[in-house]
Amino acid sequence: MIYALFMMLVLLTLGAMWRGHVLQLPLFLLTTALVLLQVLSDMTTPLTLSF
Amino acid sequence: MAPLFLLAATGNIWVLVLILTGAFGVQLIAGEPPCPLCVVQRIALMMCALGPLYLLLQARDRVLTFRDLAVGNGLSIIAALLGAAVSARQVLLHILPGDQGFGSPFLGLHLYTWCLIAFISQILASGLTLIGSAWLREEERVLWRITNVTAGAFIVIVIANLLSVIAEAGFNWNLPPDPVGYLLFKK
Repeated sequence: MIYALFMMLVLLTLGAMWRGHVLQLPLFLLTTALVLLQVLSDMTTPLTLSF
Repeated sequence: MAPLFLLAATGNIWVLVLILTGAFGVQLIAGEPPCPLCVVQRIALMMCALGPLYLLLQARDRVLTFRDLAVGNGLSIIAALLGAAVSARQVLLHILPGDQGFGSPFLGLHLYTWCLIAFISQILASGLTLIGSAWLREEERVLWRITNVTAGAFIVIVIANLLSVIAEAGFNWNLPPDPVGYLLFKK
């Protein structure tokens, strides 16, 4: 579900860009930060090594 | 020069949409559900496309500016760096001799290796576009008719991936490390 959430954030960011909303760049940065956190948690958890 | 930037942005989005469609095709035809790292790479590809989409959407209503080029390419570079880190991690996970890699190879390389090439190419393309912005004339307003079609194709492939990942994860928060099917449909 977390990956679905990220994809929804991508769509939300596109929606904000479409409307020229002030949150378009903050939403992109939020998505980036959340994906980065997910990647970092994956990289630092050897027992759930994903491939 | 503004039409050239919009043409490049449109081409960039369609290439990313084609890569995502290809990966989705492999998933459906070869019956190989993507692993968590593969899904993150797909998300990074989608985020890369937001940069050129930003350019097209800004140029829809007004003149394309240096600021638009800087922001759009900045978005793509950040997303491509994130994607490249994930692809490189997956390449390194399978670098030991004798390791068969994850999934079927395509033209001799695994999909995550192709993704790494795609992310590096995206960074190069965005860098070249930023250099090319020196030749942008801000007074040119361009009527670009295929913005909606391009954005529509992007939305379709994102929604297809969204539904696919929901089917794959079922009611779980995370995906299994080595997925073999779609948990939503398992009894």
